[in-house]
Amino acid sequence: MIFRRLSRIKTRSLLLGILPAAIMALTLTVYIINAQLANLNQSFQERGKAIADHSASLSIYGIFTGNEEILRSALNTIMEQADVVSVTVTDATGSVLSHLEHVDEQKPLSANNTSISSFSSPVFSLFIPSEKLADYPDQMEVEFQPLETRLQIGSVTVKLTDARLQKEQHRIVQNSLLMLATGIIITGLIAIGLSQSIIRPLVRLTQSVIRMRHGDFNVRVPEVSTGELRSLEVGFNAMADTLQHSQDTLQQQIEQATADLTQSMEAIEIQNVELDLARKSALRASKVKSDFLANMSHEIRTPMNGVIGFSRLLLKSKLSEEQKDLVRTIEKSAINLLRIINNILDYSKLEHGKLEPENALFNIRDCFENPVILLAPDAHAKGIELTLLIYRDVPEQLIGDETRIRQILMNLLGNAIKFTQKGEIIVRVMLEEETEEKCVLHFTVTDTGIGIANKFREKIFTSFQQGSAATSRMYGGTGLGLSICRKLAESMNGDIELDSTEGEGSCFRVALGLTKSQEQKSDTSSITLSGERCIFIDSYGYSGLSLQHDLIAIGLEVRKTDMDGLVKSGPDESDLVVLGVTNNQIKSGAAETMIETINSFFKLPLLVIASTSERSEIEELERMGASRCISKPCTRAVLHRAITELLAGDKKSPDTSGPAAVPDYSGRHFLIAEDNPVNLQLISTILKESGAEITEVKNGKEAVEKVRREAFDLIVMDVHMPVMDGREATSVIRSMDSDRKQTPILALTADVIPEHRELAFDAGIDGYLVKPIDELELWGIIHKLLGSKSRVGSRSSRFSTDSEAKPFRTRDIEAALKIAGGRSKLMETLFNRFIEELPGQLESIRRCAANRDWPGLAKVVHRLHGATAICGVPAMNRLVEALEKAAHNGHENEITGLLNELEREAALLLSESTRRSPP
Amino acid sequence: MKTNRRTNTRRWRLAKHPLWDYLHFREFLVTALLTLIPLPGLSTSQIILILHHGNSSVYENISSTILSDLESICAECRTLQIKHLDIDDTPIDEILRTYKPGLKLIVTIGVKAAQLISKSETTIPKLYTLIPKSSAVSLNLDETSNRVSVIYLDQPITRQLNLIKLIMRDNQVLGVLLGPATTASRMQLESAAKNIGVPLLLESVTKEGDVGPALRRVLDGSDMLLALPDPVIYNRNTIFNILLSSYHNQIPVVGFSASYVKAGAMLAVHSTPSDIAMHIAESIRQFVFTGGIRSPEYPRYFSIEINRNVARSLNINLPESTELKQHLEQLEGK
Repeated sequence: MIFRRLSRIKTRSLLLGILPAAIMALTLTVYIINAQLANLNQSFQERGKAIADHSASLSIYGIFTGNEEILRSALNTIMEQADVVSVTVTDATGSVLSHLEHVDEQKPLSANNTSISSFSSPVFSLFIPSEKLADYPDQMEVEFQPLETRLQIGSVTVKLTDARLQKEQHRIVQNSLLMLATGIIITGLIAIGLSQSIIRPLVRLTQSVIRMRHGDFNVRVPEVSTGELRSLEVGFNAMADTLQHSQDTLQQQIEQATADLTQSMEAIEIQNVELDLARKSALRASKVKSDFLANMSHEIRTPMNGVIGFSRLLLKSKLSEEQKDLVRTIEKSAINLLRIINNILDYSKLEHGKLEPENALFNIRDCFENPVILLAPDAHAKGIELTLLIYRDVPEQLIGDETRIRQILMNLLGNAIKFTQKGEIIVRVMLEEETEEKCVLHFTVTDTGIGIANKFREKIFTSFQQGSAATSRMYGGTGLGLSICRKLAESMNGDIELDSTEGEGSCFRVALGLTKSQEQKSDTSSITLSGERCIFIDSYGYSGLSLQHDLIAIGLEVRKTDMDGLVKSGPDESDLVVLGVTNNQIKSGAAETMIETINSFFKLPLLVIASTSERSEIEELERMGASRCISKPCTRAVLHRAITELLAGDKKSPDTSGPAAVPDYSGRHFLIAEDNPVNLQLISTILKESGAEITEVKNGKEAVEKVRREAFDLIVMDVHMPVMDGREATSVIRSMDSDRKQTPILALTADVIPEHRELAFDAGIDGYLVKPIDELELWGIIHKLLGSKSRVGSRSSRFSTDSEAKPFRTRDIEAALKIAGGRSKLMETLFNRFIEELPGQLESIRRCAANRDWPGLAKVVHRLHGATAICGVPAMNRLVEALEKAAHNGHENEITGLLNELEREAALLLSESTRRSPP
Repeated sequence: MKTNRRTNTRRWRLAKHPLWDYLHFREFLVTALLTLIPLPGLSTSQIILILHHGNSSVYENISSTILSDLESICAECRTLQIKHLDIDDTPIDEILRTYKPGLKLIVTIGVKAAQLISKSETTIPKLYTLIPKSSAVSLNLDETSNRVSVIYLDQPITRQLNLIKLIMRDNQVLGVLLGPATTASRMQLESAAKNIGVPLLLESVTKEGDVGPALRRVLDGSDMLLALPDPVIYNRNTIFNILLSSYHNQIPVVGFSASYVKAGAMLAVHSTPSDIAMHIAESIRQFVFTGGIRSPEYPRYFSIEINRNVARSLNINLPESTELKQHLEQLEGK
């Protein structure tokens, strides 16, 4: 605050005016006072000395005569002088001759803090005459020798009081200070007066500047000062004018600019609206494109469905070999065309980011074995060895999108086969990085094909690009495969890389980040053999190695040898001989020699695993002496079954490549709803083979009508239908299901868009098949849907797995994971709690049922329904749901049936949970 | 005596004249001639030595005045060889040896010369002059002998008392301070004062420090102060104090020398060098004629010196000094 006040110009100028003058005046005053006091003091001292001298001269006679009276009378004049307090006269010996003192005045003076100064003066005898007293030298007997100095005959001490001196000093100090103060005040007044003439205009200017700083440009200062200040004021006013002017100009410009801007904004707004419209229309277009794609796929798949389906049916009919070859060609071409269409669709979907990877538990071995086996015939046809090596550290199960992985593998493997003329193709599956919860699954497809030049290495992953124009011409293809692979891999937190040397071969490496399954499902081939010994002969490196692993894995004690070793070692205690032969060995006849040799040495079952898919060749090999011959590569399950059968002495013929066996559903009543007459006919034809009674309708509405009137064991429904589509019809049928048993509905669609599938499941379908219909798949899924109701045990399809296509599984981990948001721990917790509570709840249900307390039952079941809905137990969930409805309606018969089913399902669940976590 | 005075005056005048050197030379010639002419009563090479010690101008003055006085008062003395010597220059024995053959009389001027001669064992008649009475004792004078005599420097006390009597009013008291040098003449003073009829107040002082109080006592009880030459009392240190004290008490001081008068004493009776020289010349003439020397004497001739300023200050009206001198001479019977 003080500093701020000091910094003000008013204060500063005042200080400027006063301070130097004050300092000078103060210095001068101090000097003058000092000088005056010194003068006073000096004159006091001199006066004292003078008085003492005077007293001395007055005392000469008195001292000489020693007469006090004379001294007194002489010194009285001294005593009368001011300040004199006392006069003391002593003689030469120091004894006091006379002492005069003002007795009365002494005391008040001394009390007044005054001091007494003493002044002494020696008293000399009078001057010495220059002449002698005697006229003659000897006139006085002894002529007195004059002294060198004057003879001191005594001394006078005068004491003076400095009271008057002090008074005078005080007066001088007082006067000086008074003058100083007066001077400073006058200087201050003059400084204030002078500074006012400077400060006032400056203050006015400052205030004006402040006002101007706050935006008041109208402020002006009166031009009343003189000199530079006037120039300043004039300058300020001119500046203010200029500023105001420029401010006005600026304001105008701003207004102009704002107006322009507003216009621009409006234009932009319009553009925005237009853009929005355009965007909407683009989105609409995109949707239209999606719809178009869906429709297109539907439209294309439907005829393809017909082509493939009927060509397969045609193959089953009695045709000549020549005709069969032609039909097979038709089928193969159709399948190729379908694959191309599928690729284009996949790519299109990926472009739109529509393919969100699923997160479901899947079996690694199944995932990799099936595509390899599927593509094995193509490889065998070209004489290429195809080997799958799954490393031991790879877990049995992982969570991820199995379909995608298969798709990638199929693509890469297809490419490898396509571009390899001879040699081998090896698929390796291994684990790269592993943490508690995640791992990176790594698989490579290595071929000995034409390879890819360095310059195309990145390019081939781009859409519609192939290695080179020549390649395109020679091998054909859309050029979409690898880019789809890459997109798929990327969608699964992975990547795809290529190592290749032109002319030597390529190696595609795929790395995928997958979640590890918390529960390790027991090995599918857990039914192991008990250490039977086998001799294994396979001269071919990797496939041999792979086979050896498989043999060991299923529980055999394997002795690997070659033909020479076998011959040398001779017969031993082995139970079985396994011989791996390559395609070349079959073609060259070496295989026959080997079989003969082995059979000549051993009287043991001989399993030949041959690199061929040709039925004729397999049969030929069996004819040559092989106890059993299976195609290579084979799944572990096939191998296991073959060996088990061999050891058991069963020489049942393998069913690997025959047309699908048709289950017997005679007496069952199936409803087929399909608008496309070709497809309707196809499905109808296929399903009729099972002996089931078929009712055909052309749309959803008709289907609903049919279902309303009569009961069906199965409804096969196309999703896209006129009048009423499949989803709607399903909903209606499900709504009617309330009072009866739920009829399984199998949806058929040519549409591959996942949302549509989801919607269909939401509507209440129980199964889903994508056109074109694969007969095996169809039977597989029907078998699942009808379950135990099928009177004939159907053989499991190669494609069916535990985790796929079953509509109401006892336990659906995938669904449970979905509900738990992918958090397996939460899922486990929920499931465990459910299992804990299940027996209690069952007890309550039984009690209610026994008492025929249907509302109570409904309440208890409703509670159970809440738990089953979130724990991934779809079968029980369905039962509970039905039971709840039945309880509400009080249908005793239905309730009893459902209760039995519920008990069974609960027992299954409880036994499974006990098995998983033994107490 | 008047003539002498005149002569003196003339000489004083001549001394100032440019022709003084010439005249001096003439006198020297005359003196030289006189010494060459033997007196009838005396054998031809009769020598009189005038000795002094130190080169005081007074001594020179006296010596030369003696010669001139002798020339005027004694024609017979022209044969005499009068030698004027400073015995400070030449040892006394050598002088005596040199002048022994014709030496008849030794005249000393001043105490120093007298003391030196008196210590020498010469039998030649001696006349000691300018001897203060107080110093005479040191000369072992034989009062009865006519071969040795003294002319004192001091004025006879009666002369002084007479003078005082002349100027003092009746019943006035004369104060005298006696120091170590003058205390011996106390009796003489007292008897002379009694004779003349001057009341006397005496104070003795033994050291200079006592002078003040003693003086105060004397001044308190007297009307006039007579100063007798005593260096303890009257010296240059004390003189002004004494004079001031006296005049402070309105008491006039009668001094003992012309110098004293000049310094502030009211008056003094004293003998000038001419007076002394005349006295010596007459004594020499008498020795020439009688062959003997008179008994010790006070100066025969004297002068009176008055400080009129002092007298006026003290409001004392004094007669002319000549008048006073005449009175004194009358009183002394001359």
